Amino acid sequence: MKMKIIIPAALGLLILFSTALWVIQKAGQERGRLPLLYELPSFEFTTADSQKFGLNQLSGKISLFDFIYTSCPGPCPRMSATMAVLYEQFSDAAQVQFVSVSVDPGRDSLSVLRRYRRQYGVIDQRWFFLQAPIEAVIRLYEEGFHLGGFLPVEHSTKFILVDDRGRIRGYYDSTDAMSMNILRTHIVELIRMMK
Amino acid sequence: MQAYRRSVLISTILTYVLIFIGGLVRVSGAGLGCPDWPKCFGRWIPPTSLDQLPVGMDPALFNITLAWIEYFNRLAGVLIGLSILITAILAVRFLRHDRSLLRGSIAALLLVVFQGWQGSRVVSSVLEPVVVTLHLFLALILVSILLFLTHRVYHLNKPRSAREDLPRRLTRILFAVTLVQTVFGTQIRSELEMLARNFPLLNDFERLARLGPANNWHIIIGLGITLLVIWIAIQIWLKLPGFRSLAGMMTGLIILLTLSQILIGILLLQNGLPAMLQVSHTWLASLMLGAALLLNLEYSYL
Repeated sequence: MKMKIIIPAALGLLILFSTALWVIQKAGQERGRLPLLYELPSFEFTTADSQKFGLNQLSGKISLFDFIYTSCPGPCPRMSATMAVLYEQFSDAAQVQFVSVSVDPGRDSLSVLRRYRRQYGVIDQRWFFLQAPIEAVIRLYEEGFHLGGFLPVEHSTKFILVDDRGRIRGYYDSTDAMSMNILRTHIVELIRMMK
Repeated sequence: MQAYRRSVLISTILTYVLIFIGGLVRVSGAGLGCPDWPKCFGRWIPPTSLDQLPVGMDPALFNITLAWIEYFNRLAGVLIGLSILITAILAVRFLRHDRSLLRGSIAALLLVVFQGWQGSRVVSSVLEPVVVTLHLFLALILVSILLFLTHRVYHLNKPRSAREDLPRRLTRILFAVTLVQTVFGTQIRSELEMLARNFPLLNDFERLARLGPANNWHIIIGLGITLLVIWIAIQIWLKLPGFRSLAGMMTGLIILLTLSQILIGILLLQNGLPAMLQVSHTWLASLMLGAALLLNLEYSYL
């Protein structure tokens, strides 16, 4: 009687635990797997501090891009606020930088971008605000980042993760908490892969 | 009767398996594997490739492994729901004379349905710690009801004693404290997850070092439980020496589980929380809860 219970129970436990081990390992691999999506073309933009910013500034860094304009009513302040949270959370990671590209260069002069930057408490060289003629912005937006919508008003609310060799690794919906969780995991994973 | 016995026993075992699977979902980070509920990415069978995703669903959320882990939890939940439904139907048909069996079976059915719905809140709250803890808490209550029913249906014709002596009170306290301790444990895990969210650069050891007082309380309560278990073992084995009786066996099991939990707890702290140990820690806690309940019930028939 006792053996009739003990053997199936022990067998059941063995199957349960070994399956669990396999599942945990598999999930760990999957969580950190980042696709290689597109390679960014070369571009040359200007930062709010009048520095040149292009592909060279991406090498050796993990960059998180978004597209905004400072006079935008709804989504941009929310996007920048979300980005400011990430900027704070990754403040100890010098290899992570944040890049906000203005999609309304006509109105967003460098001084306007500097004022906007101050609002979000940017105090160091980890968050750049970029400006370029609208044609160059559209080219980077559509051909480089493969995003759509009429600029500036229909710009995407996605955050785009770019690795240390200028390759796009993921698009994340900045309005969705689940996506932001995944983004954090992916940034940490990229940091680990760079080491 | 025989059918009811089989049905309630299977429900209990399956619920224990599901508690294990639930823990696995959590540690493998698959809780949001399906961002919608009850379907997974708008489908009854989770998608296997990106082009099966419905329009407007963010492809960044999709990971086939995590989706299937989460969905398996839901499928197993449905299976248990059906198993408990059968149990309740059998109780209504054949065991109406036994009030506690009838009420317990229906309570289990209501609870499992509620638990399924509460699972949808876990997803929609984006794994809000309180909601996740409640999900485990309800599962523990459910499995306790099922264990009560299982024990009861094997003791139908035996009279229950009304005496309130020390072992009976002690085992009741053990059940309650184990429940509290388990909830405390999930609280610690919530804290660790919040730390991971707010300080993504910390490694596991650095996160452990930043834990609040909940961790110390967990250790203190754990020591308390150990003393309580020793006291109970002395009381029970004075009356019923050895492992022959169910009460004696449960006492042995409780001691074994307590020692294992202490060991796993130490290993968790020393090794930076390996996922497998986390699942085991939670699951053994649920077994401990069940063993304490069975001991208490068994003692009431002695």
